[in-house]
Amino acid sequence: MENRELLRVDGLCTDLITARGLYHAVRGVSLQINEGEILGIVGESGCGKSMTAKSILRLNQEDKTFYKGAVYYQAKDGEKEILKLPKKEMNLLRGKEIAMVSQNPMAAFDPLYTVGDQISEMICYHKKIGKKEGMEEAARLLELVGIFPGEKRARQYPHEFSGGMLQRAAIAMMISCSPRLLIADEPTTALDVTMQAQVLEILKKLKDEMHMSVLLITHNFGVVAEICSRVCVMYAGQVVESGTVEEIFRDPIHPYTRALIRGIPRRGGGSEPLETIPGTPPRLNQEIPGCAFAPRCAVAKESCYTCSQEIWSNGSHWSRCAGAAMARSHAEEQQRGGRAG
Amino acid sequence: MAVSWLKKLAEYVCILVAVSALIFFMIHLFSPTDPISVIVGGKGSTPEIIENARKKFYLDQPVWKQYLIWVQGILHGDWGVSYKYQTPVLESILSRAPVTLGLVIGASVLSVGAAIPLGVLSAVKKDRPADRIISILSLVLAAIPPFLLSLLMVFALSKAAPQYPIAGGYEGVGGYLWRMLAPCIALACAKITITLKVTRQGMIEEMKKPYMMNVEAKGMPEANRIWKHGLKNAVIPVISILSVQIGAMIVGAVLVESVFSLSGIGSFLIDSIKASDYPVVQAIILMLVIVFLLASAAADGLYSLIDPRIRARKGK
Repeated sequence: MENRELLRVDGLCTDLITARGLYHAVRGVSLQINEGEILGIVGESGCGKSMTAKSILRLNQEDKTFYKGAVYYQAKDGEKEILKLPKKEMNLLRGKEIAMVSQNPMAAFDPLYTVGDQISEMICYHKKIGKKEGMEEAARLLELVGIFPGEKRARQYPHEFSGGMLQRAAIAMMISCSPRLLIADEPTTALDVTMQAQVLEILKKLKDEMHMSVLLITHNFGVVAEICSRVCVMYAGQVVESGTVEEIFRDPIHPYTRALIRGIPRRGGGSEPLETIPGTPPRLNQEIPGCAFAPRCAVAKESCYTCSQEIWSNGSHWSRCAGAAMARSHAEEQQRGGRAG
Repeated sequence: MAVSWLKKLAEYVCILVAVSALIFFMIHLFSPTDPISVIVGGKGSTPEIIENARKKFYLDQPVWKQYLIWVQGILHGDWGVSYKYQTPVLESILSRAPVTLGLVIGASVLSVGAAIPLGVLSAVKKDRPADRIISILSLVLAAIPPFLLSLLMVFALSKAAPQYPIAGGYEGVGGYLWRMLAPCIALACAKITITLKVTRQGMIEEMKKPYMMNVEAKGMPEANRIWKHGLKNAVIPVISILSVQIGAMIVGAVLVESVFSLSGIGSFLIDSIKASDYPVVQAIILMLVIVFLLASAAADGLYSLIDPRIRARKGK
């Protein structure tokens, strides 16, 4: 079962029409999610992580979005190209095969219907069962994510739930039809620390017990280290580095990844201030000829601004900055050479 | 819950007392004609007749006392006696009520029935040809005053469908509905625009809300998103518009009634103002205020029926 491909994003570009012109939100993202694994996408806000997630389910406003590239989903009845799927089939895929929990739990539910009604509406639609059974199932799911008593809670409205409970209820809703892939877009950002731990615990349980794949979007490396098996680091609408959690933490190649990891607070890290990355991410309404990170990069060369970067890869570990990899191995060699001499 | 209802009730009673006093004193203190001349009319009136009339209509009392007598009468179901006809006001009003009520209710149903689906369609097809066409048509409708539309309809009907009853009485429920149809349409058209625009705007905003993306991510079909989630949320401001529009409808009804020669409350009010028949005028205006309050109470009730958050706030 392990390592069987479930979803493959291939050179995805998402362009949005906005009032200020065309906005290149995603600029050629490729990634792969296998069955039963948790893949993390990390990056600053505005780097296109959420946009990538939304594009996988085609949740952007249809008439104002252009997609390029492809998203292949391995359905039970063969491979499907999501970006070319007709609307009707798309609705059968959303929620049932691929579900998504969005960032703000407060905004996940329609305020005018009970939480149970909104969960059961989805179950009834996808599983073609009656309303009563739907409500019973909703109550059971709420208890599964630790909301008791499910039956009573299902009859309550979103405004009667706390933020953490809403987020868990949203997860309960999204796993109600046993999707094979759950996209969790910053599921812990709006929550306090104890709630965060609970939500992560639920995600882990889903992976272990229901063999669900999870695409976890976050800006928090700590969350990644805790539950992901592989990571993609995104910057300015591109994946700049990907690999297993081990590889990324032990041996980050791309200057951006390295800067991010240096920015993680550490236990016993002493009193020196945390390192921050100077500057701001580029605006994505223009073409970026060279490396998007170059203006903020400590080791950027002149060519970095104009030429596209060579890609470095070593098995599962992959980076958009070959220069940094070379420089590093060069330095290592020199060091070794120095020691030998 | 009970407390909030009592509060609301007290509020309404205060409004009624204030408004009734305002109406009464304005009419009686600033009246340009002496009521007595309306009562006795042009007949050769002796001082004796005048004196009797004064007594009968309490005109010999100070105005504040007349007001109290009037209010007391209303509380006992007596809305006063018409100066002109010397008959109970309530009777005359009730005999004309079906026409005006029918006109206002019918026109409301027609305008809402047209405005909400068109507004939703307009929002879903935002900036596309269907939206543009609806927007232009609704502006044209808003620009035609009801009385003009009524006149045009009367002309058109008398030419194209001479058998349609544009004047005269009616028989039975079917006859009543048939007779009311044309005036209702005439009154409804101008009211479509605002409701439509508010529905459209509300729907556009609602469809952009974050939870809508979630409903889409659940895989629910578009019809569910639009009609179950979108419209229910968008309809809340529409309700407040409607409760206010009822007042404007009654004003419009006056003109439509006269063009379609219906004897309703609107034309009765105008006639009574012209004739300085104050008991009728003040009774009708007070009734309109009551209708207004009922409409706003109904709107309040609908809000809490639709929105659980409002219900929760009231429960506290």
